[in-house]
This record gives sequence, C-alpha cells and structure tokens, in this order.
Amino acid sequence: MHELMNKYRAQLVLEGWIRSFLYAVLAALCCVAVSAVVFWMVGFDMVWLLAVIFAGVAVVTAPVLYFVLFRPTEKSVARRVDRELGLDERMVTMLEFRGSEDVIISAQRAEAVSALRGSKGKKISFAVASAALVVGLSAAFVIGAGTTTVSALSANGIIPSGAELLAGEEVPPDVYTITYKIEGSGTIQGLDFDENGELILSQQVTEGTTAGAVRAVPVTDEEGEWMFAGWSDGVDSAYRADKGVDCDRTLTAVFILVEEDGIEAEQDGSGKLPVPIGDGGSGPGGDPGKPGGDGEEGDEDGDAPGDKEQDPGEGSGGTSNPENQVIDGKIYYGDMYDDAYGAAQDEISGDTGISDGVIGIIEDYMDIIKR
Amino acid sequence: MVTESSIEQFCKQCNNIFDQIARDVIGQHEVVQDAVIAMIAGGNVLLEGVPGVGKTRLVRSLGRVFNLPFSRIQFTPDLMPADVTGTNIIVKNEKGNSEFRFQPGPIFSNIVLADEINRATPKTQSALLEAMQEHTVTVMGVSRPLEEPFFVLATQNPIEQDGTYPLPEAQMDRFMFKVNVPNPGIDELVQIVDMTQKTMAEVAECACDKETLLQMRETANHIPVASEVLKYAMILISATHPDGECASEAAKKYIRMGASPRAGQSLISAAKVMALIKGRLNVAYADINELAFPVLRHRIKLNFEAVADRVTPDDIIAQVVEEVRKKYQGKD
Repeated sequence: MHELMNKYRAQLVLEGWIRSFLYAVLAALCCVAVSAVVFWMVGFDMVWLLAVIFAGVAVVTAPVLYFVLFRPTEKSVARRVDRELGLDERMVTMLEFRGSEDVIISAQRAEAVSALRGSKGKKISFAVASAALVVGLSAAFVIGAGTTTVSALSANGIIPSGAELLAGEEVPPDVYTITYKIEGSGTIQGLDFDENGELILSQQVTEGTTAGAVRAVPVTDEEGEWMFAGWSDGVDSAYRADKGVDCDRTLTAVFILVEEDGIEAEQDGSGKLPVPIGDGGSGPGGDPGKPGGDGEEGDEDGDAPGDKEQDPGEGSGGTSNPENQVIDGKIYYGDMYDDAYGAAQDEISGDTGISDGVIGIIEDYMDIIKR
Repeated sequence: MVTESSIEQFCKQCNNIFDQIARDVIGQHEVVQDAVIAMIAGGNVLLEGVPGVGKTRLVRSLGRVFNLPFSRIQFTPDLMPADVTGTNIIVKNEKGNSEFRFQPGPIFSNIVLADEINRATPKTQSALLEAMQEHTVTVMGVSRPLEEPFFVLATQNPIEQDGTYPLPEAQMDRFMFKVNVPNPGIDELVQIVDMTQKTMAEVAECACDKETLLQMRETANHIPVASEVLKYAMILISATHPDGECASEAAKKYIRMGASPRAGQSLISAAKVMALIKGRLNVAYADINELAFPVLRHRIKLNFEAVADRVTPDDIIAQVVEEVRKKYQGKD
C-alpha cells in the first residue's frame, strides 16, 4: 500500500510545503505591515529591519505551519486520492482496516488496489492556493509594500512621521500677500525693487509673522507739494509693520496736495482733509462701503461716488518715481530733513534764551517743511 | 459465513434479480432498486403512489423472484388485528376434547403486502408493529416467531385522504424506506400498454431462494464502513433534528421532529447493500447521500412553516444533505 501511495504522497508533501510557504509569506507580510506602521508612528528610521522581520517570520513560520497543519498524513493522502480519482472511499476504508485478515476486508483491499491501478491515467490536481489565499496575499502585499514605503519616506524625511503628525507640525504655515497701492504722489519705502529697478508694490508674509516695515513717503512734483494723509485701513502713521497677518491684504497709501495757503482737498475743493477711502481690494484693510466726499455709497473700486479717478499723468505727474525723492540723485531728502530737524531740536533745547513762542513758531515751520 | 465466492456471487445475483423483475415491472428502476436493497438488508418498505403505477405488481414480482411465500392483506376500516395476526380457535383434539388452537393470520408469510395500509384503523395498523420490528407475533400471551426472511411491503395512496388513518410515527419508523412510486414516463407507458395488451400474466422467474437471500444479507452485513463515513451518516441523521448537535439550517427552519436512531441503522444497512450492488466492497459517502432520501423522508416531521411554504420532505432532505456534505464530508 505504501508503494501505491508514495507517488501521491510525494506530490502532497510538495503541496504542503508550498502552501506552508505561501501562508508564511502572508504572515510575514502582515508582520511587516504592522512593523512598518509602528516604525512610522515612532519615527524609527532603521527601515532595513523590515526586511529582516519579513525573512525571519517567513523562515520560522513556514516549517511550523507545515508540521502542524499541512503535513500530509496517510489518511489525508488516502482521502485525497479517493476524492480526486473517484475511488469512493476505497483507500480510506482500506487504510482503516489494514490490520484485519477478514475475508471481506481482504477482498476490499484487493478491490481497492485494483481500482487504484485502474485509474492510472488520472492524476491528482496540484492545488496549493485557494482564491481566498490569493486575495489575502495580494492584499497583504499591497498593504505591506505601502506601509513600508511610507515608513521609508518618513525615515528619509520626505514625509513627516506619525509622531510629528501627532505633534501637529506637519502643516506648513500659509504665506499671504500684502499689496500696496498709492493714491496721489508718493512712494512706499521698505519694499524691494525688481530687476528693472521698478518698485515691487507687494510683499509676502508668512502666517502669524510681522510684515516688513514700510513707510509711505510723499513726493513733490510739478503740481506742488504732497503730504501723506493716511492708509486706506485707517492707520494714520506713515510707518507701519503689520503684525499677525492672517490673510491677503491690499493697502492704499493716500497722499494729498498741499497748497501754499494750506492743505487743499484734492478733488472737491472743499478745503477739508479727505477721509481715507476704501481701496476695494481683497484685504480687510479696504472698506468699499465707507462713504467718501459727499457721503454716498462707495463704488466698486472703493472710491467715493463723485470722485474722479486719479490720473497719474495729470494729478501727480507720476511722482512715485524714486528719483524725485533724492537730492542731486544721491541724498534722500527725508534723511536730510531728519538731520536738520534733529539739529534744530538740539539748538532749541540747548539755547535757553529762546522763548516758548519762538520755539512754537520754529516747530510749526519744521512741521510745514516736513509735510 | 462470508466467503470469497459469496462476495463474487452477490453482484451476479443482484443483476439476475433486477433482470427478472424488469420483465414484469417496466421502468421504476429506482423503486425496484430500493425495494431489493430493503429486502436484502432485512427492512420493510412503504410504497406511496397513486393507483395504477404498479405497486402491487412489484410486490408480487418480488415474491416470485425471491421464491418466497407471499400473502396480501387488503387493509380496510373494518379489518381487525386478528385478521392480520391470526387468532386462537376452538377445535376438537384426537380425544374429542375442545381446545384452543392458533390459526395463523396472513402475516405468517415471508413477504406480506399490506395494501392501502392507511385505510385500516390504528388498532389494526399497530398489529403489524411487533411483526415488523421483532419478527414475532404475540397472540393471547404467546409469542410466535415469524419465518425469516420476513418482509412487509405496505402501500398507501397519497390522495383520497378521506376515511384514512395516517400511520403513527412509531409505525412509520419501522419502515426502512419510504419509496415514492412516480408515474411512468411516456416510453415506459408505451411499453407497459404494449406488454399488457398481449398478456397480463407475470412472467418473472425465480432468481434467488430463501437461503441465498439470507446469505446475501450476511455478506452485506460484513461490508466495512470507514469510521469517518459512519460518523458522516450519523451527523446526517443528527442534522435532521432542529435542536440537535449538528442541526442544519433547513432542519431549524422546517423540521419539528428529526429522524430516530433507527434511521441511522437503516441508513448504514442499506448503504452496505448498495455498495455491493455497485460492485464495491466498502460504503462511500455517495451511498449515504443517495439513500438519505428513502430513509429519511418518512421519518422527519415537518413544522407548520414547511407546510405553509409547500416544502416537501425531499426538498428539506436535499438541503440537509448539501449542508452536511459541504461541512463534514471527507473530514474527521
């Protein structure tokens, strides 16, 4: 009987080993997937250990599975032969009663052997993997490869680790743009110039940080002298360094013309100082609805109704040119003024013979010069 | 005693029996096979079929082929137990004194045809109980053994239920098989009409005698059954119990009461004979699965849901067999 079954047994042993190996690979892939997730979570960068884990689990599990589950026994071989060769439990019965010498048992044995020999042409199919195993292996491979890739990328600093994600450092801060506009004749200092020497009227600000300091400076042109009236968001100071920027903003620096006999209202000739107007931009500093001039609703670009559009060619003569802000093409007149103002202050404070009335006249004069 | 020649003769004898019966009974191969299996295995058969499908003719043929004494009891509502078993009558002995003498009833035969058994009252039906199980008849406190082989073939009509008394479970359980006798097909019908137009005479000849039949029974009893096949058969029986250890889903849904242990005995005995008839010397799962239908169909009691869903016992058995086959076949 052993001789008869040996051929089939050898095939089933091979089947058992292959099946054990496949299940071992499945187990190894699962271990790799779990380990890779753990590595990524804790930020462990020795990803090569995953290969060791895979090999170790596969090598240990395969023989264990074979000897515990898939090693073919005599009965399982007999059962398989019966099923595959259509022997109707002849081999199982023969195996179970092999010790008996009863007439009918002997006859059964002879009949079973005869039936087995009669089915020589038939072969046992080679079945190592069920559909479920194939699906499981595929899924485990995809998950294992995916988690290993993530772990490797994390180890190389390409993507944040799980620990970093949990710490909340994974989201890069946003960058916002502050765009500046100029109304009237003036310029904005503190901004960069492009390669053509043109002033870039914007700056990029990282979320939550303070924007670079800028200063609105009026520029005198052929129309006369201009003074800074304020920013469109209501800030009066020419100097500003916006803190905690959290969105894109558009800011307009408003300059007004200074007449010899005082400050002239720029358009309506009412003699009133213009109210800073909304700039219609996207930034919160703009206030499109803020009434200007006659107090009606602001139009789309933020100008007050009735206001004429400022024509740089006529109104200011294009005074934003940096060349108009220096003396002899070298010295920035603002610095000259600051020096002169500082010297005058020193003179006034040092000379106790000057009365308070004279000091007030001098300060008014300096103030006029400043404007 | 089982010898090599008795094993060799078994198949030939069976083929001979089938050939002879086929001379009288056209078609109905499954019915004939089940009846012969039951006879060899020593069981009783309940044949159910509409009138005119050849139930009685089959029984008569069996009697002639096995060359066994045959008696027929036509069951009617006024049939009394004594009409079946026999009774003591007063006779004069040689000395001229009166004494009781037992007059055997028709049951004292080797093959008994209980025609339309469900038409007799339960009292008369129960007169068969002891004979069917113990092969003895007790009248007035005296038990008399029946001659072996003893075999009851009962018939009943599935329609015309008025004035009938359904057999109680206890009696049903004593039938090894319940065989449904179907209507013959067109070709078989043509052959039947053609044959009976020429002669109504039964032409089957003796193919087996009493001793041979008993020898065949003994041979079959020695057929080995692998433990896993035996266990499988018992699981199948257990699966018909809705609250059993291996209860099948079909049983839980449709069966009120499952098959008795006697069903297991019948299943294995019959499977051994079937294996021999197929030229095999061991019982296979296929034998168990095939014989589950005649063995179980009269032993399971359907619940109301099955009746409402018009599910037949055969439908339920098919589901149970399929379930058990998938779960347990080829396993320890």
